[in-house]
Amino acid sequence: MSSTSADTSTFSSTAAEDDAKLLEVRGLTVHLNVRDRVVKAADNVNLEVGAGECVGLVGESGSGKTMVARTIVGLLPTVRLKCCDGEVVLDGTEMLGLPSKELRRARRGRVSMIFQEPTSYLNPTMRIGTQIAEALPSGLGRMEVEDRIKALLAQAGLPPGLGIERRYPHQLSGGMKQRAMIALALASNPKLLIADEPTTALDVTVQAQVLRTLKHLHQERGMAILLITHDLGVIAEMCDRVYVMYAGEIVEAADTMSLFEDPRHPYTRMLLNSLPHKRHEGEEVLKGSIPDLSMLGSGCRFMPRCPHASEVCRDEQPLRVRTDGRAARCVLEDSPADRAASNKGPQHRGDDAPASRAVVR
Amino acid sequence: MILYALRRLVQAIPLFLGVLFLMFLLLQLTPGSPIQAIVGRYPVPPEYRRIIVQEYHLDQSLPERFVYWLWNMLHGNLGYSFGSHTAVTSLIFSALPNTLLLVVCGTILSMVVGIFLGFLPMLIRGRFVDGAVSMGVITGFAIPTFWMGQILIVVFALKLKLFPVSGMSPLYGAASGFGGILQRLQYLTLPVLALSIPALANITRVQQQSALETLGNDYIVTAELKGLSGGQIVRRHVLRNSLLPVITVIGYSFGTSMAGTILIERVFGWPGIGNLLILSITRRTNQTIIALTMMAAAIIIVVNLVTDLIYGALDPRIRVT
Amino acid sequence: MAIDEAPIAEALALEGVAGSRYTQGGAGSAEETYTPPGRMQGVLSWIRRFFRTQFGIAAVVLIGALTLMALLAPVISPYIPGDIAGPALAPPFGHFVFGTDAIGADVLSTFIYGARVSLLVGACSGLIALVLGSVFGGLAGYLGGATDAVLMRIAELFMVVPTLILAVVMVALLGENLVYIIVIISLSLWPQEARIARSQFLTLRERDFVQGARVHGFRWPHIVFKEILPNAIAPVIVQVSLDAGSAILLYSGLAFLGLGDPALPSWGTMLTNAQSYLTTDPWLSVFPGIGILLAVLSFNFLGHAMNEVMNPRSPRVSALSLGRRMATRLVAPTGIIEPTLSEPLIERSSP
Repeated sequence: MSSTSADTSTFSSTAAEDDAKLLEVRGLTVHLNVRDRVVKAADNVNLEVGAGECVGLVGESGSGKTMVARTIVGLLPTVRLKCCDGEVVLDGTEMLGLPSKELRRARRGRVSMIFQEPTSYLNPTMRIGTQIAEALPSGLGRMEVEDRIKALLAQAGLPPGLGIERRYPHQLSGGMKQRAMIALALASNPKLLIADEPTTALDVTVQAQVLRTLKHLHQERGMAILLITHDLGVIAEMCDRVYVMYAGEIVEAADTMSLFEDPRHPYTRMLLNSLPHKRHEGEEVLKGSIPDLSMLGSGCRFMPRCPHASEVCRDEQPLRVRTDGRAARCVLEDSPADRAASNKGPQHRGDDAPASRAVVR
Repeated sequence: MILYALRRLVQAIPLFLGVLFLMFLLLQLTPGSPIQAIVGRYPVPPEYRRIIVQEYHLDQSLPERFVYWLWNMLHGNLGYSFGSHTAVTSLIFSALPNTLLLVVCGTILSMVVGIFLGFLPMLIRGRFVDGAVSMGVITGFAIPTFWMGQILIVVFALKLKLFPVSGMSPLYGAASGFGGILQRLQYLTLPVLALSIPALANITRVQQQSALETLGNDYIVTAELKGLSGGQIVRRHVLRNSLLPVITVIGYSFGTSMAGTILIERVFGWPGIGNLLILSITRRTNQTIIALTMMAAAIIIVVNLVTDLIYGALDPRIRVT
Repeated sequence: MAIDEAPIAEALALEGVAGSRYTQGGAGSAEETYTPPGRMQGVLSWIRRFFRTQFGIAAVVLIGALTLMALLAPVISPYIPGDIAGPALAPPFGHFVFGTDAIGADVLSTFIYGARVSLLVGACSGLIALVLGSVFGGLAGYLGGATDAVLMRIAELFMVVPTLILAVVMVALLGENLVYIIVIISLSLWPQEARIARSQFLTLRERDFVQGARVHGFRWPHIVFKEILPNAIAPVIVQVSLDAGSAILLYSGLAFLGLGDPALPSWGTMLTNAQSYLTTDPWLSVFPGIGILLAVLSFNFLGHAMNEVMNPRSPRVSALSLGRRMATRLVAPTGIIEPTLSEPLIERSSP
C-alpha cells in the first residue's frame, strides 16, 4: 500500500495543475468491412474524459460502445477495418495510427481496460500472481514484485490472506475474477480505466460490491474511469457525466443529474422509462431493436423507433450543443413549439431559448 | 489429480474388454469351424485341437464361450504357433521391442518437428511459409508411407549409399559400444522417416490450428493491453496453451504409427510385430494374428492413458480438481 | 464484447446465402422461429463458390481425369494388364511408356486399370461410411441419453484400434473379396462421420427452427429428415471426402500386404511387386506411388474445398497476425458450425 499511495499523491498533483482533458475523442468514425457490407460501428463520435473524472457511456447492445472503447486503447481489427477517422488524444498523445510498438508504450501508465467476461480475459493456465506480475513495470526485485501484487489485489478488494496470487482463474468466483482483472489493470498505474460492462456478468450482490470497489479506487487514486454499460442504474451510482450512444452515434451528452432529471433526446427518455421504478403511466417505452449498422439511411437513426418522428427527421441530424454544455442529437431541441406540442418533456424548463446550432463535425 | 487418473483408468478397462469382445465377434464370423477360426488353416496336430476345444470350452453356449475366451486372453494364454514352434507370447515379446523402438522414435520425431512446423507460420509471418506448411500437411496425409519408404531406399540407400537398405543390424560384424549405437541409428533413420510422415502431418495441422485458436482468445487481448510485445505474447501465452490440444493427438499418432509399422517393416525388412503379423497372415496362424492385434490395442490404450495423464498434469484446470 | 456482436452477426445472417441462416441459428431475430427451407438457391451458390476455390478446381480436374482414366481403361490402355507384352523389365520412356514388369506386362496398362479399384473403393467406402456415420451419429445426437452413450462407446472402440490394423485383421480372417474389403474399410472409417453427425444433431435439435417445427406438430421423420439432416450433413460430407482418400490409402496398404482382391490390378499390388526389384529397377515403384498420391490428394482437395465453401468463417489457415485474428473473432457470429478440421481427432469427455 505504501508505494502505491505515494504514486497516487504524485498523480493527483499533476492532475490538479494540468486542467486539460485526459482523453479527447474527436470525430471518431469506425467502419468495418463485413463480407460485402460496411458496418458503421461508430460515426463521428466526440467524447471527453477529464483527469480523475468518472464518465459513463451508455447505450443498448450493439450501439458501438465497445468499438469506441477498443479504438481508444488501440485494439482495432486491422483487417476488417474499412476506415477509421478522427482523433483519439490520450494524455497528450495521439493514439490512432500509432505503430504497435509505440502504441504499447503510449498505453503504459495511461490506460487499462477491464471487460464484461473476466473468465475469458484471464489466461486459464497461469497463476493470477504471474499474470499481474507481467503487467508490472520491469526491473523490480522479486520481493518487490510480490509485495506489489499483494498490494494491488488488496486494493481490488482481495485481502492477502486468501492467497489469490497463487490460484488459477478457474478456482475463483466470477466476482473474484473481476477483482483480479481490476488488480491487473491497476498494475501499470493507469490514469484512465476503461471498464466495459464490468458488472454485467456478475450476480447482483457482487455487482454492487465490485462497483463500490471501482468507486473507491476512483476516489482514492484519482483515477479517471470511462464506464461503458447499458445499465442506467450503474451510471446513476458511479458517474459524473454521461454520453448516450445509439446506433454508432452519440445522441446525448449531459451531467448525470440533469440527464436523469431532464432527458432531452427521445431515446434517452425512453431508455429512462424502461427502468422499472422510473416508469410513469402513459409514457412511451422502447419498442423494436437497434437498426442494422450496415443498412443505415442518412436521417436520424432513431427515427424508426421514435414516437415524435416527422419529415424533418429524414435529414441528417447534427448534435446540438447548448450553452450549459448539454447536447442532444434531435430536431426537437430546435423549436420549443414542437416540444410543447409533444408535451412529453418535463414542465419546469426555464431556459427555453432556442439551442445554439453548434454543429460538431 | 489422483481421482482424475483413477477415473481415466476405470474408463480404459471397459474399452479393452470391448476390443476383446470385438475380436471374439470376428472369430465367430470367420468362415469354417470354431476350432479352425481360432487356430487358423495352418496344419496343427489333432491333440492340439482337442486342447483348444477344452481350453476355450467350444462345446458350450456362445456367452459361456466368450467368458472362457476372456479368461484365456486375460491370463496371457495366447496359444502356440506351430509355424514357428514357439508359444505366441514369446514370439510377440521377441518382436515387440523392435517395433516399439521404431514407433517411439517416429512419434518423438513427428512431435518435435510437427510442433516446430506448426509454429513456423507464427514465427515467420507471410503467405509463403503459411501456404507451404499447409500444403505440406495436405500432401503428408496423402503420401502412402510404404511408397515413401521405397523412394527413400532408392534415393538414400541405393543411389547416395548413406544408409543401409534394410534390416535393423548388419548380418555379420555388428559394431559394439558407441559405434554400435551409431550403426543402430543408421539402420533406424530411413524407416523412422517414412513412418513418421502421417503423424507429422497430423501434429503439424493440430498445432497450427491450435496456435491460431489460442491467438483468438480474449486473454491475448489482456496480454496485449499489458504492454507485452508480440514475441512475449507468443512465448508466454500462446505456446503453452496451444500445446495442450497437441498432447491429446499424440496418443492417436502413436496408434497410426503402430499400424504404419506393418507396412514399413515390410518395406525395410524390420523384424518387428508387423512382419510377424504378415507372416502369420500368410501362414494362416490365426492365434498369432488375434494376439498381435490385442497387443497393439492394449499398447495404444495405455499410451492414450499416459497422454491423458500428461494432459492432466499440464492443465491446471484438471490438475487441481 | 459478446453483446456488441449481435447486430454484426445479424448483418451476416441477412446475407443472401440460403441455408446459412439455419446454421447460424442464434443470430436470427426472435420472429424467425420456423421458416420452411428454400434450399435450391443455396446449393447453386455453394457450387458457384466451390469453383472459386483453388482446391475445388484442382479436385475437379484430378478426380475428373482419374475417373475418365478408370472408365475408359479398356479403350486407352495399350495392352491387357497382366498379359505378356514384351521383354521383362524394359525401362520406361521407350516403346513402353512406363516400362514393363518382371513378367513383361505393360506397366502403363496395369496403372490405368489400377485407377478403377482405387476410385471404386474410395467412392463406395465413403458412401457406406456416410450412411453408417449419419445413421448412428444422428441417432446418438438426436436421442441422446443411454443410446448416445452406448453408440459413442462403440465408435470409440473402433477408433482405438487403428484403421489399418483393424482392416488387416478383418481381411485376413474373413477373406479377400472386394465387397468384403469395401465393407471392412467403411467399418473402420465410420466413427469419424458418426462423431461429426452426432455433434451436429446435438446442437441442431435445440435450435429455434427445429423446436418451431416440433411446436407446429411435425412428427420425428419430418424433423429428422426435413429439418435437421439437410443442415447437419455438410460437415459430414466434408469428412466423407477426406475419408474417401483414407480408404484409397488403406486399400493400397492392404494390397501392398497381399490382402487386396487378387483378381483386380491395383497400385498397391504393383508396389509389392516393385519391392523385389528396388535395387535393379527402382522406376517400377515410381508410377503406382504417384497414382496413389494423386488419387488421395484429389479427395483431400475436394474435402478442403467443400470445407471452405460450407464453413466460410472457419479460419482458412492463412497468414496471421494478432490484429488479423482478432478481426475474424470480432465479427464471427456466435454459434456457428465448429470447423470440421479443427476438431481433435479423439473426442475427450471433459472432466
